Amino acid sequence: MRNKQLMIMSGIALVLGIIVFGPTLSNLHKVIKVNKQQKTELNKLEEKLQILEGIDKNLITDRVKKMEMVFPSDKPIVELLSSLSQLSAKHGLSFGGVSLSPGALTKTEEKKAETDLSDLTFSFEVGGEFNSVLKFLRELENTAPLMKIDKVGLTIKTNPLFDIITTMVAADIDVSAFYQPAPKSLGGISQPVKLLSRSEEAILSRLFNFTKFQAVLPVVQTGKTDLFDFGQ
Amino acid sequence: MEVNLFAKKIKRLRDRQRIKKLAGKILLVSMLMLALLMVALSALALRIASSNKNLEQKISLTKNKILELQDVESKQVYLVSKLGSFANLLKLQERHQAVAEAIFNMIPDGTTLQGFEVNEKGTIDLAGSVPAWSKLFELLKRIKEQTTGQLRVVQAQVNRISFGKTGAINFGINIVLSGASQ
Repeated sequence: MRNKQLMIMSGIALVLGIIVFGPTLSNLHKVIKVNKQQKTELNKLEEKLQILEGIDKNLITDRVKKMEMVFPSDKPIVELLSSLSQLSAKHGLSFGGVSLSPGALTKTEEKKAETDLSDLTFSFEVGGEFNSVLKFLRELENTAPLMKIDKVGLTIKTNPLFDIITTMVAADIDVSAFYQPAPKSLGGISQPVKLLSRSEEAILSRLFNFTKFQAVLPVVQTGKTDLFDFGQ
Repeated sequence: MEVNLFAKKIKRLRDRQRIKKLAGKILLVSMLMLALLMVALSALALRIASSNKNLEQKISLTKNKILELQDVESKQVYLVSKLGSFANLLKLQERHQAVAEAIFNMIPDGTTLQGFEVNEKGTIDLAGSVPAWSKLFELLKRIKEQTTGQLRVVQAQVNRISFGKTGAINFGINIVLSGASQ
C-alpha cells in the first residue's frame, strides 16, 4: 500500500515536472543560446566598427584612386597607349608600330573567377637615341598602368647623312599590362574587415612611385560640317 | 490484568497517520521549493530575454553605424583583394628590371641586339651583332667582369660568333644571372 502511494506520488511529481518545468527549461535554454549568439555577433560587429572607424578616409580614397590608375579593374587600353606615347615623347623618341589584341570589349562568360588576374600583351616600337631608349625602358615599368617588359630587340639605325656621334636605335618591345576586376560584393555585414599589415602598407605606399600620364584621346571631328561657313 | 487486543492495530494506524502527515509535509515543502524554483527560472529567463532585447538594439545600432561606413569598407575590401596580385607583380617586375638593367649595363655602344627575352628564370639568350672585334671583346669583358647592379653573372657561354656581309660580327651568348630566378 505504502509502495503504491509512493509510486503514485513520484509519478505525479514527474508529470508535473515535465508539464511545468519542461517548457520553462526549454525556453530558458533557447534564451541563453540566443544571448550567446547575440553577444558573439555584437563583439564581431563592434570589432569591425572599431576597425572601420580607425581607417583614414582620405588616405584610403587616395590609395583606391592610385590603385585603379596603376592596377586597373578593366582593360587599360586607352591609358596604355596614352602613357606609352607620352612617355616616348618625354624622352624625345618616336613611337609606333603598336600591335595589340584587346579581345572582347564586353564581358563574356569566362572560365576564370571574376577576381582573377588578367594580362594584356602587346608590342610596339620606339626609336631615338640609345640613352633615351634606355631611360624609356627604365621608366616604363614605373609608369601607370602597371607593365612588365617581356622582350626587347634593339637595332641601330644611324643616319649616314648626318655627322652625329650619337647612336640612334629602334627598339621592338613586347610588354604585358595587368588588370584585375574589383570584387562585386562586400559579403555579410558581420564579416570581418581585414586590416593591412606593415608590409602590405609598404607595398601600397609604392603605388605613389608610379608616374601617371593623363589619358589624352585624339579628337576626331564627327558629324556634318558646313564647308562654306567662313565664320562671317 | 488488562489485555489490549487492538494494540498492534492501533500502532499501525498511528504509524500510517504519521507517515501520511510527513508525506504531506514533504509534499508541501517540495511544492513550495518547486514553485520557488519555477519563479527563479522564470525570472532568469525574463532577465536574459530583456538582455537579449538590449543586445538586439545594440546590434542594430552598430549595424547602422557600419552601414554608414560602407564606403570605407568597400574601399578596404577592394584594396585587400588587389593587394596580393599587386605585390606578386611588383616582385616580378623588380626581377625584370634588375635583369634588364644588368643586360643594358653589359652592352657597349654600337651593339645591335636582335632581341633578348627578359626572363625571370635567369637565363638570357643574348643575340646580336657588333661592328668591330674591339666591341665584341668589350662585350665579353663586361660580361666576365660584370659587377654593377643586383645581379651577378653566374654562367656565360658563347654559342655562336659569325661574320656578316657588312663586316659586322654576329654573336649568340647564353647568360645565367644569379638571383634572377625564384
